[in-house]
Amino acid sequence: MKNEIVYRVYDFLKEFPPFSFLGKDDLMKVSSQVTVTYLPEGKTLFNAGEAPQPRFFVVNTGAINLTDEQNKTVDICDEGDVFGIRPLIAHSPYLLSARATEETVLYCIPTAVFLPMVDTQPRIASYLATNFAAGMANMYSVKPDKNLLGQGVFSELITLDPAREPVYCDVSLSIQEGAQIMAKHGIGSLIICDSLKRPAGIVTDKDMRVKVVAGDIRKKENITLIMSSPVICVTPSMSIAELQITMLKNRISHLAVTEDGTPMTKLLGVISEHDLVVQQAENPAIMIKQIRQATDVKTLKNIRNKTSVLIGKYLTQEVSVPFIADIVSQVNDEIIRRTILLAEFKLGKHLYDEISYCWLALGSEGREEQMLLTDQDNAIIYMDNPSVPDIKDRCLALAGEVTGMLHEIGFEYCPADMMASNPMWCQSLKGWQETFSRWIHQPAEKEIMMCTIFFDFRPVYGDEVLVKELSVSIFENLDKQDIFLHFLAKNALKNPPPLSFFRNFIVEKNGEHKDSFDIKLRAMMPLADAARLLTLSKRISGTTNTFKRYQKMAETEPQNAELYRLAADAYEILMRQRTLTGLSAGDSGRYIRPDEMDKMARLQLRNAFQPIGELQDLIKVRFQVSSVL
Amino acid sequence: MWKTLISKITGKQRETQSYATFYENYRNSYVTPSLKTSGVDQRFVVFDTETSGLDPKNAQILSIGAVKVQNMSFEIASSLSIRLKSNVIPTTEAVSIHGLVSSEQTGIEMNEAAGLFFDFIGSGVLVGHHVGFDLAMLNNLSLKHGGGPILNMALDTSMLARRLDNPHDPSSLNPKEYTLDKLCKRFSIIPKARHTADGDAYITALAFIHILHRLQAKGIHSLGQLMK
Repeated sequence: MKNEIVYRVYDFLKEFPPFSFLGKDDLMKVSSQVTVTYLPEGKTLFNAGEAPQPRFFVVNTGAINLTDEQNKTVDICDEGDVFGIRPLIAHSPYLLSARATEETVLYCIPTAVFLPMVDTQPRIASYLATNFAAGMANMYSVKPDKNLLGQGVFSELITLDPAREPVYCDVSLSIQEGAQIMAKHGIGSLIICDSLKRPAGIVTDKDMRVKVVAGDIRKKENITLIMSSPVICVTPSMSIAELQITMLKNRISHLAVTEDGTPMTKLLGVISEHDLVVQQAENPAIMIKQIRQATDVKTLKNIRNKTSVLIGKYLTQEVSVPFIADIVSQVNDEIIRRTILLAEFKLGKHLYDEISYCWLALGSEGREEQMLLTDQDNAIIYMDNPSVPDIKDRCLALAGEVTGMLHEIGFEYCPADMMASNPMWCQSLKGWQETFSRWIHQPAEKEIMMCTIFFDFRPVYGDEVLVKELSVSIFENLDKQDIFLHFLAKNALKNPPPLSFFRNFIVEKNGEHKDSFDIKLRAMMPLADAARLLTLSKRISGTTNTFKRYQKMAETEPQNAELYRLAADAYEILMRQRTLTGLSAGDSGRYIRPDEMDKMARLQLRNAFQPIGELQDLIKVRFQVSSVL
Repeated sequence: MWKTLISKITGKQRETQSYATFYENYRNSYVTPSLKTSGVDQRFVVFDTETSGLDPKNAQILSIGAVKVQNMSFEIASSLSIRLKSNVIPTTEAVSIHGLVSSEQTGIEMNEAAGLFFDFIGSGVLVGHHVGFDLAMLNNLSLKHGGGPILNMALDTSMLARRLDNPHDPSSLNPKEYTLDKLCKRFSIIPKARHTADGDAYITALAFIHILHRLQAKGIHSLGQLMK
């Protein structure tokens, strides 16, 4: 019979990786074997050096501090975090000690039920590898080094740098000669190859110390006397996760890369554990972890700067723009959440625990389309509370603190002051409902402009119920006031697309940006505006992202699916171009200079204008605004 | 023949009349726990029932959920989760609380449920939120199917929580301030999917462990002290 209690565990675990990658049956199997256990504050779960328990742990509530043997904190695990699994795969003692820093409820999962799933599910292996790397990165305190193996982490595959000739030692050489090679290249281990450059064995620092210096083998002897063999080999196309698991399983820190992954073919390179850690230090998942543990603005700023480097890397690798934007917005959201939390602590956490509010991202941030550092657009919505008369002051104080910190991190103040620190953008649910109602019922040009920014709101932190209620009341108002969409349509048609690239390409006529093209105003905004208008008219809620809006529209109106797909593609091209421009110019990338673009990029851009015109025609007919223009 | 006659005369019918097997087995193996056992070592059975109404006389049990707590832990694999067959249309008051279920045809028979439950609890100390109601429901179930009353000691998490705040006169505190929801909030327990009996057993167990720890800090360690 169905055991409902299992569902309690299942419902929790399914929200968190790696469990979120499991199918329902597998996860139910795992859930049914969980032991729920309670640790009071200060209680130690295990100590470094102890033999591993046959189970690993997931934090349900509370927090676990992982410390190394010097008692330095290596990681803090909170809700949904997994720990204590590495020793189980490596069959080695715990490297770290685990202690509850607050009252904690843990789910203990027997390794025996879980390990078979690691082997069959690549995503789980990949997640675990990332997880281990996070811990190791902290232990080694490495800084990311772009030159090593440098490739985007999300692609997961390691490619060997062909320019980096593997260091090895011929079987004919002596121990002393081998030691000289190691010293010359500053490496801790050396692959020994036969005359066909096939790996025959490996010698480590430790072999030198134990067998030669402290042992009775003389340094003039042949190096093969002290090597270990066979060498564990891998193929050139293994993912980081697979490599990491291979190292863990064999308890080694170096792998030889050969043509076919066996010692019978030529050595192509050597991958060390350190290489993997370095490669993963730029992993967004790790950045997010670092953000969650940041305690000051400076750290957050550094992490955000790393993100910009990552974006550039992704763009050059032709990673899809919606995917990059998704990652960037996750990083940004996490920074905002961390900033809010830091501000809450600074001002007095209890003041904010007792009120219900929600931090909203607006504009491009709300649409999850912010790639480069741009202006802040945000707002606060709170629930009136008679027992807290100063609720607005509390929210404003928080917003002042948060916007200031975000500014320091690199998200500049909004020049139009559309920020939660502005009393007009920090309102109660009722206040916001009235504001939107006013905008919808008396739409003048300014109100319409507001709407285009505010309709793209998205909750980032706090009580999302408030946001849902606001959405509901906005849709109710729209139902009563259909004419509003007509005004919104007029606004969406304000910027006709450039006709052709070479002739009527519209460049700014004067000012600082003379001879450049405003890609945001002339191409991206018309597409974003059209997407917003169309989804609002279909009462599609819950998505603010332009790509997703077009996707939804394509599902809703199959007869226009092709046009919507083209529009989404165009938006992607424009966003890519804008970001590339911004990265090279060190600004928001809004103004591009056609004369500086190569022909390919110009052609792409011209094609991207096509659907704008078609969409605008569709809007003219549908919302009957042709006469107005 | 003589036996029944004597029992009729002495009125000690209950002593000699044979109970249903499930209850016989339970009664024969029941051992009263020592009051000196510490709250950590003692085996508790945290349970909850979902019923068709709020009056033990008329209501029927729709489901039972229970977990065994020991050493501040419990295993999901050894939890009990049963849904009973019933034809009762629940009263509106129960529906508004539980939001369930008109009638359940897929569950197991009542006598089978009673057997499973008694087998599960053994000699463990029972724990429930407002445990009195659940005990009354289960006693009725047992009696209806040839069993006798529950012999186990029982603890009420609502009362234990109030003891945390007022050790000398816990009953003076308003029980409405000590609902399961409020306890979840207080102990930061994630209160998802409440109001099926099983879900309640799960969070009641968590709440109980949190309370147990806090009572220890106040010097209440042994079962005897907990039962006071």
